[in-house]
Amino acid sequence: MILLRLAYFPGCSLKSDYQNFEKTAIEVLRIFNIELVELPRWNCCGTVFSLSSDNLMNYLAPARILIRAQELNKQIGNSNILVTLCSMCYNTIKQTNNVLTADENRDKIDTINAFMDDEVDYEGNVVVKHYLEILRDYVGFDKIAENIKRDLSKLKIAPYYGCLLLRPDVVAVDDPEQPKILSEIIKSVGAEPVEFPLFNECCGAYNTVTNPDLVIEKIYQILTSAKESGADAIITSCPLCFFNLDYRQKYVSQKYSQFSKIPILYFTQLLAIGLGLDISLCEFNKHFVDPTRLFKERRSE
Amino acid sequence: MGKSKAALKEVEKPKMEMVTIYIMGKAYKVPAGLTIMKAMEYAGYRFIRGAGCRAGFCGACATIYRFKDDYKLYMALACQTPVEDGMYLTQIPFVPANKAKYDINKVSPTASSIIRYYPEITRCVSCNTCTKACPQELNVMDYIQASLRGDIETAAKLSFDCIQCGLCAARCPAEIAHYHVAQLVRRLYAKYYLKPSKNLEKRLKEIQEGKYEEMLNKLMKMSKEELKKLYESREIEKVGVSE
Repeated sequence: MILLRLAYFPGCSLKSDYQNFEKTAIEVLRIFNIELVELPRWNCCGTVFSLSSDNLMNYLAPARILIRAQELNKQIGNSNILVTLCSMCYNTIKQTNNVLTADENRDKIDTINAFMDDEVDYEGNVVVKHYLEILRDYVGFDKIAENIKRDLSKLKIAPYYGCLLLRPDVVAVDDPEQPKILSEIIKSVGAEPVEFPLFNECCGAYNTVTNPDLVIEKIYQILTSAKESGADAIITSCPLCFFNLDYRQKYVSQKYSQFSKIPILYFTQLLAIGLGLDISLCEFNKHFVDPTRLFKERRSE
Repeated sequence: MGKSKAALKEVEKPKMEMVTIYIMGKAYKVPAGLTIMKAMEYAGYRFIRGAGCRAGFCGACATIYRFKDDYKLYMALACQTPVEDGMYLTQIPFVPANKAKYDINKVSPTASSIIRYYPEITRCVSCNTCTKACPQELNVMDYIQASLRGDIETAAKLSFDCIQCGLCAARCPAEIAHYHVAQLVRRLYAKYYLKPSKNLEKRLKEIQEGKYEEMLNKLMKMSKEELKKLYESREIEKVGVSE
């Protein structure tokens, strides 16, 4: 029985390369009777939040998403929340929402609404939340722990936040300096969180296109730091971080011969496994470093 | 059209209601009720290009217009849209837009392959100007956005009624060639999502086996008069009756 229906924005990556992130996320919340209702129409979030505050064109994409959420929530009727899953989408939409709801930006909001004469006006009531916040505030870590079906107690998992969940602090899902939310997730599934110094280091982001060497270096540092802290695997909530952390290991191993690979998981995959969902939902065959063996070994021990 | 012939006969010279339109800035008085295309012909213009089927399907007669004191820029097909008083008109018979070359059998139905042939789509800022420009009233921005995330089915369905007039591409600040992207996604949709049509396979086989050669050769040898006669006596499928 669904108790709560929440407007949900998936984003492009979750519909193309990383459907496993979305599928596991939807199924995990369903266990707790929360349904994510995808916006009926949506566009790319705009990808990067625009720091040039006078170029309003860059706010149109996220503003349209906020309008779609506003209208969907009028139909669903039980909240004014918009849930996002990809860290990048979360950051862009949330920061834009902050711009569009600030009183001192009234003239900008009017300009944007006037330009978008094909849409209803944005009323400024949508609250953008990351999926992690829904788990923390609407499900609760205790509730997750109560529903765990697989023994993951021997797994050591490193929480990797990257930049976009924590910076800037006005959109941080947790304490930007000492976040706990991913560690709480790891604890709730019964595994051991391994905090490591580079938990909020940038993965190199889009440099992966134009300057892959830089990214390879960053990934080598981040992964080595996690492994030296004893991690068996790393969890993330960002498709771009995932790509860099997972796929770029191919090049890290070429550059550093002593480097041993480490599996990367979306936190929703870890939850899906812990909560007893079918492992095939995780589509581990799409990972460069396949985490399957990790779970099999641990379970038979 | 509702007036009967008898009603028209009562008036010796039916007075035509005229409207003023502006073609490339010059004023012309033309009869109300004409399409833009017919009104331009009435005004003395002769279409050599920029007119095709005259039935709203070929996309050759894209037109932009504005009214005095109205900030909106309107788009239309000249053959489908009646003139209105005070229209400032100009024709856009052709829009330069690069068309990617590809072998559809070698293109995978993914976002990344669409982006490879049309990388401009990643520049979309969701301004929706393309949608506002579409005389077919398609959700152009939505099908570009669907293409961007590899949702080929949605993109193909949303763009199905595209007539390739190119107004979207002319208006786009990101310089996307929307209608060519739409053609690629529809080809991918046909190849990877739709079941092959049995009738098509059957017909192709018949053609390959030469079933229609004789009939075609007969047609080729006919005189213009014979062809005309044949055309006029052709069987026309009745509306609403299908096999």
